[in-house]
Order: sequence, then structure tokens, then C-alpha cells
Amino acid sequence: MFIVQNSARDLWVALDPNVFAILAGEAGYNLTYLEVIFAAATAITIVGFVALYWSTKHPEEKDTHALAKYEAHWVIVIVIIFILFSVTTLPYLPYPYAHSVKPNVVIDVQAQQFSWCLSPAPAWGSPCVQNINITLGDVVLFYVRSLDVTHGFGVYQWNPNSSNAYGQILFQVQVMPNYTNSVEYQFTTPGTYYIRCLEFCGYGHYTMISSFNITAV
Amino acid sequence: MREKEREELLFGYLERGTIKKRQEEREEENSMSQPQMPSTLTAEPAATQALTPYTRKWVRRLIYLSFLNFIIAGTLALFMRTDQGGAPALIGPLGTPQVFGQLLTAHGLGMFVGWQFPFAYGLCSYVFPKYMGRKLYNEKLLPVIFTLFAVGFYLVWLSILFGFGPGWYFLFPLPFHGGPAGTAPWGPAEALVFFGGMIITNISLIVFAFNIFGSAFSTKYDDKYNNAPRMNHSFSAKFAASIGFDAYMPKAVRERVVSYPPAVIAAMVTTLDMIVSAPPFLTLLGDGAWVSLNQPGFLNNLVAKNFVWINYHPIVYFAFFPLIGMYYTLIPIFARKNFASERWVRVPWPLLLITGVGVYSHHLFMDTSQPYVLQLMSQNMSMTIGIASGISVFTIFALIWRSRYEWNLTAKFFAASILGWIVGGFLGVEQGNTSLDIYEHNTYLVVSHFHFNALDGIIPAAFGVLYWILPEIASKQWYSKTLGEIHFWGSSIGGFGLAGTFALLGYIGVPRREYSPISQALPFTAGYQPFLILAFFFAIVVAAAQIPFIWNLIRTLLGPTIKPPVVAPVPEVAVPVPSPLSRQSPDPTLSSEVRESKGTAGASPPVSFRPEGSISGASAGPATTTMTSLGEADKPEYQRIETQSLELDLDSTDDILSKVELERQEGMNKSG
Repeated sequence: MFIVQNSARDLWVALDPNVFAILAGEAGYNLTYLEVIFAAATAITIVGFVALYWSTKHPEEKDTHALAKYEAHWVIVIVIIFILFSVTTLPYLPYPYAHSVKPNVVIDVQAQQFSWCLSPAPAWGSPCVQNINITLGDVVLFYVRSLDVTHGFGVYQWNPNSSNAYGQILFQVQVMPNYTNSVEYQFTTPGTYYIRCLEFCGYGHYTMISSFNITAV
Repeated sequence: MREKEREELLFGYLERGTIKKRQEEREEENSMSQPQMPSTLTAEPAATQALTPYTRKWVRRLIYLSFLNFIIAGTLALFMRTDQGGAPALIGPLGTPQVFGQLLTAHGLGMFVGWQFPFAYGLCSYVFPKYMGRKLYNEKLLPVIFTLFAVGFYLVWLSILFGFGPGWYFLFPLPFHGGPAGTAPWGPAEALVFFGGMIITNISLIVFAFNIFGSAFSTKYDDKYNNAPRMNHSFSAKFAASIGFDAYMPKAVRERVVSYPPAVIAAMVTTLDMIVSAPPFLTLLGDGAWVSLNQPGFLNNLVAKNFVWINYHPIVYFAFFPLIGMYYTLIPIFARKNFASERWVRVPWPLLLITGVGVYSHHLFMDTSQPYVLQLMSQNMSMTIGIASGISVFTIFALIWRSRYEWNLTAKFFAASILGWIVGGFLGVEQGNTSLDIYEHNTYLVVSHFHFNALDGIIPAAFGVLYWILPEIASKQWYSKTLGEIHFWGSSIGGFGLAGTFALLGYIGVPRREYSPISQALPFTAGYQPFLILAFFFAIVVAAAQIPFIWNLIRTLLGPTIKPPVVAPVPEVAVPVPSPLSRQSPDPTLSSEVRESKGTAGASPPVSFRPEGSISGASAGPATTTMTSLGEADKPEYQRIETQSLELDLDSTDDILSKVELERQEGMNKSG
């Protein structure tokens, strides 16, 4: 299993080194690679539809079910694709308990309508720290909890000097009352990171924004 | 002989070759004595007494109600787009953040419940009489279903009108906590009306399911599904056939099970999914109503979230599955050939039945408190639903491939729908993967996924079916084909443009459900604007494309009722040539008297679209003899020879049918 996992990981990393930024410590993840796959698959589908239309303008004289005889082959192909897709992505589960990397910093995140409160753990109920500073390279475990309704703890990165004008979403986790959810991340790029609520939590949901800093030692 | 054979088999006396030979002999014997009818059709079935005028009346009322809700819910969506895309660049926000929450709730519920429920009720109640030849188990329940649904659902919308706005899936405890103390836009009264309305809506579902299961399994019907000789009619055999599981049985067992038509299998699968997931959902609604009465709730938030999604995922399929059933039913008619294998038609359905509910936990991938076993199950189920969809799409493609396909309006809508299904499926598989979902959850990619699947998948299929069945259920002839074409192209261009733009928004990380995705506190969000405006533009296109549809529908319904003509038993009859949306079977050997006498299938108007400004089909009084008049534009589609027809009242058609049937049989006896 170990070998399979590593091979799978190598495969994805070879295709796009940043495809799984989480825990890999690379904050350069973007969805370009998936976007290209989606666009290619859509293009192939459209070509398929055009071919289908063409075929109906050139009907067979005798009904031979030319394509239908390959149905079993087709099923085998898609089953293999789906198994490969599942197996190769399993090593990158977004759950801290699925990984052996231990965090060296824990941040408590409390959410309530319509604000965020970050504080160094363990200190539930401790005062919020504005623009909390985290040292570059730390493996950070965020413990998230809500004081009222369900929120979504989403973290975006944006570098003003980068060519990416839209920033990028690095990770997220749901924040639910009476439960403590968690997410782990290693920051490797200094700068400001933005928190945005990613679960509809009421009329002020769109204002639920905060930030923190990653600073080099 | 059989006993001896069994004994020989038991004791191993027979050689392999002898067994095979005897099996072949038995198969031959069976096939001669019991010809197996294919469960799919290459022509519309002949008129059936099962689709009674009463059933037709309530089916069409349910479908009218569904499209009324569709138009209202769609209009609400347009206002959401102005809030997000139009503001502040074009026209400024029309609503407030609070109104945006209400729009969000009303649009989602309006489409998934307000539109889908009555449409699925109507379609499922249509396919049993139409394709199984069975009168509904209790058609008098249709008005009960209609009333319960209408009361329940409009209570839901009423609560939203008065301020209730926690989103269409109302994650607990948001319904009871609309904002910081003193600022909540709604209170317990609105929440109570909402939960009460949802409970009544779901009671209509239970009544509907009772009717469907009765129609599928009751022993009161004297037909081939209950009484075919030498076949297995046990409940387990019927249940297996009703969900398509017979496709997985060994040949010897399969051959003794009477297969159900695909449209009926689809209706059964979707109803089963809904009913299996109803108890947890009703528990949740009960809890919501209880808490609204200021009582302590009995579900914790994680369980509540599970109970929402276990029902809300199958909801998405509620109308979609029966519509896939209609692909399997109508596409062979358009392609003028049958499937290469009846078995492949049924293979996806048991998978869809299980995965329809089993995928639900992929809505909770970002809840690390959710047990991992459920996450793993739902990831695998999400992949399996991709496999089931892949099989369906391939089966349909293979059928159409190099056939003499009739690209009528319904066929075009189906093609758009299948394209939306596939493209939305790509995104669904992507998001159904736990490791990727961390980047995509609650972004516009999710919105893109279900708009490809719903706006470009379910809705076009529903329009296709509506264009097909309206002449039959409403005895009306479509007012204009041109308006239908404009509707198709506008909806398709706008719909795919909108969902495609949502995908772009998703890939750049724009969160969904934001009153204003662009925020000054987030400098990188300024770049979202052009995409939001593009989405707004496509939404306008979709909305504009519905205007010809509404006009066409109104003019059609206000137009003259088509009295089903009964062609007198004279040798010369109108020979139908396949034409766009002509409901006539391409096979003229089908009993045209029977088809036309019933005002169903073939009896729907000779041409479904009449040219604007002209009326085809005289509307003389009952039992008068008239000549069928065809509009100028219709002539090329029909080789009109000589037709003599009787105009009849719908209610008296049963009597006339039996009379005509008798005359036909007499004629056959004479000629025989």
C-alpha cells in the first residue's frame, strides 16, 4: 500500500507539482490542472455529439449496432478510470487524522455571526488576536468551532506581485456548533492570508472576513 | 420428463453436451409458447384505456403547477444575479443582504421542490398507464397529492416571503438563529410555518409513493405482469424487475421474470429513493417544528445535517430519473430501432437506486467530525454513479449512432439534456472526490455542477417531455413550432453559458451564496466582476428564452381543444410520415383506429404543431362526421389520401373505442 500511495503521489506531482498543496507545504496550488482536464473532457464530449449528429445523417442501411457491441469494453474502461482516480487521490485526504505529520502550532478558531476570532491554543475563550502571526514553516493545526450556527473556515492566499489576479483557495473546513473540526496546513510563503466564511450563515455572511500573517523568522 | 431430468442432473448422469442440448430445446419451447415482448418500444404504444381522462386531467394540472413554480423560481434567480453581477457595475443591487437570503432560499426550494415534485408526480403517474398499460392504483389520490403539495409548498414560500431565509437546505441551527440577538430577519413563527409546510409537502410524497407502489405491485391487475403463464410473479420477482435488477440475474432466472418498461423502472427507483430517505428527513422537520415552538430539539447538529442531505441528494434525482426513463422510452422511437440489448438498459438502475441515497455524505466532506467510513462510502458511491451514468449515456449513444434519427424538438432537448448531464457529471466526479473537494466545496464549482445537471440536464429533458406529452394529456395542439425552436436555442445557449461561467467562477475560487462576492477587504476579489457580469448576461438570455415558451404555452392552452378524431373503418386513411413532433407512429401497421379513437398517443392531433393563425382539426359537436382538415404547412408531413373522421367528446371515447374495436375485430374476422 505504501508503494502504491507513493507512486500515486509521484504521478500527480509529476503532472502538476502544486496539485496537492495541502501538507505538501507548497502554497502555490491552483486549479489550473483540473480546469484543463475539465475543459478537455468537455471538448471531447462536444466532438462526440457532433460525430453523433453526423452519424445520423449517414445512417446504416442495415442495423448492425456497430457501437453497442463495445459497451462492456467501455464499462471496463470507465471502472478503471474511476478506480485510478480514487486510489491516486486517497493519500491526500484533507483530514488531519489521515496523516502522520504532527503539527507544532495549534490555533483555535471561533466563529459567530458575523466575525472570526483566532487565538493561540489551548485557550478556548481566550481573547481574540487581531492579525495573528504564524511563523513560516510551522505545521499549523486549526481547531475550529462555532458559537452559533454553521460557518465555513476558508483560507485564501493572494500575492499582489503574482500573475494570479484572483488569489486562490488553499483549504477549508466546516465550522459547526457543538463539534470541533480541524484542518492542518504548512505555510511556506510569507504574507497575508485571508479568511472568508464559506457556508451561508445569515444575512451578514458576506461580511465575515478576516486575515492573519505568516512571517519569516 | 422434467422430474427425471432433475434427478439425472442431481446425480450427475447427464453429460455436459446433453444438458446444453436439453436447455436449448427448452428455451426454444419456451420462446415458441411464450414470446417475450421487448420492454422498450420503437413506436408509441397504442392507446390504452388505462390513461383515463381523469388521470390525464390531474397529470396535466400537476405539470402546469410545476412549470408555474419554475417560472417564479427562475425569476427569483434573475434577481439574485442582479445582486451579484449587476451590482454595482450595471444597475446596482435590487435587494438587500436579507432579501438575498430569501431569494437564495426561495429559488433553491422553488426549483428542487416547487418544480420537481409536481413534475415528478405528474410524469410518474403518466408512465404507469401509458407504458405499463395499468390504470393508476388509485387515481382519486391524484387530487389529494396535488392539494397537499400545493398547500404545503406555498406555505413554505409564504414563510420565505415573511423573511425566512436560511438557504434551501436550512442547516441547523440557522433556522432558529437568523442573526445576532435582536437582528434576526425571521423568528420562530416563520420557521414554524416553513417546517409545517415542508411536512405537508412530504406527506404528499408519501401518498404519491403509495399510489406508485400500488400501481407497480398490486395483484389486482390482470395483465402480463401478474398473470403471464410460466413466469415468476412472486413479489420478489416483481420487485427485482421494477428496479431493473433482473439484468443481473442468471439467464435461467431472468427469463422467468417479466421485465418492466424502463420508464416505469425509473419512476420506481426515484420513488424508492425518496421514500427511503423520507423518515430521517421528516424527523428533522419534526425537530425543526418542535424547536420553533420553543421546545428543546432532539437532534444534534451533525445528525441534523446528515438528515438533510440524505433526503436532499435524492431530491435532485426525483424528476431526473423519470426523465432518464423517458430517454430510454422515446429515443428508440426517434431512432426507429431498439436497443441492442435490453439488459444494458436495466443495468444502471439498481446502481442508481443505491447510489441515489448513498452519495449523500459527499455534502459533508468538509466536516471532519463526520465518521470517515461515511465519507469513504460516499466517495465510492459518487464514482459509482459516474459509472451508472456512463453506461446509460453509452447505451443511448450506441442506439442513436448511425440510426435514422428524427431530430424533432423533443430529440433536440434530449440531446442538450444529455450534454448537460455529461458535463455536469465531470464536475460531479471531481467534487465527489474528498481530496479535491477541499478546494471546491462551497465555491461556484458546485453551483456550476448542479446547474449543468439541472438547468442544462433536468430542465431541457422536462421541456422535451412536455412538448411531447402535452398534446396527449391536454388534448391541445402546440400553437407554434417556431416558438419552440426559439425556446430551445435560447435556453441552451443561455443555460450552457451560465453554467460554464459558473465553472470559471469556481475555478478562480469564488465562494457561492455571497450577497456580494466582491469585497473591498479582499483585494483579489475585484477580478471576479467580469465573470459575474457574464453570468448575469447569460441569465438574461435564459430568462428571455422562456418568454416564447410562456407565450406558446398560453396560446396552446387557450387554443381549441382537439377532439380526438375516430377514423371510420374505411380503407383509405391518412398515412403518417415521421415528422417533427408528429405523435403518429412511423409504423402505419399499428391499429390507427384504436390509436386515434382514444385521443392518446397516436390520437393526439394529427400534427402537434399547427401553423400560426390556422386551426387544424375542426371543433364540431360530438358525433358529427367531418373531414380532417390539415393546415397548409402540414401537408408535406402527411400523405393525405382520404380521411373520414368522427369528432367525439373525450368522455365518450371509451364507449366508442369498444365499438370501434368490435368493428375492427369483425372486419378482421371477415377478411380472415
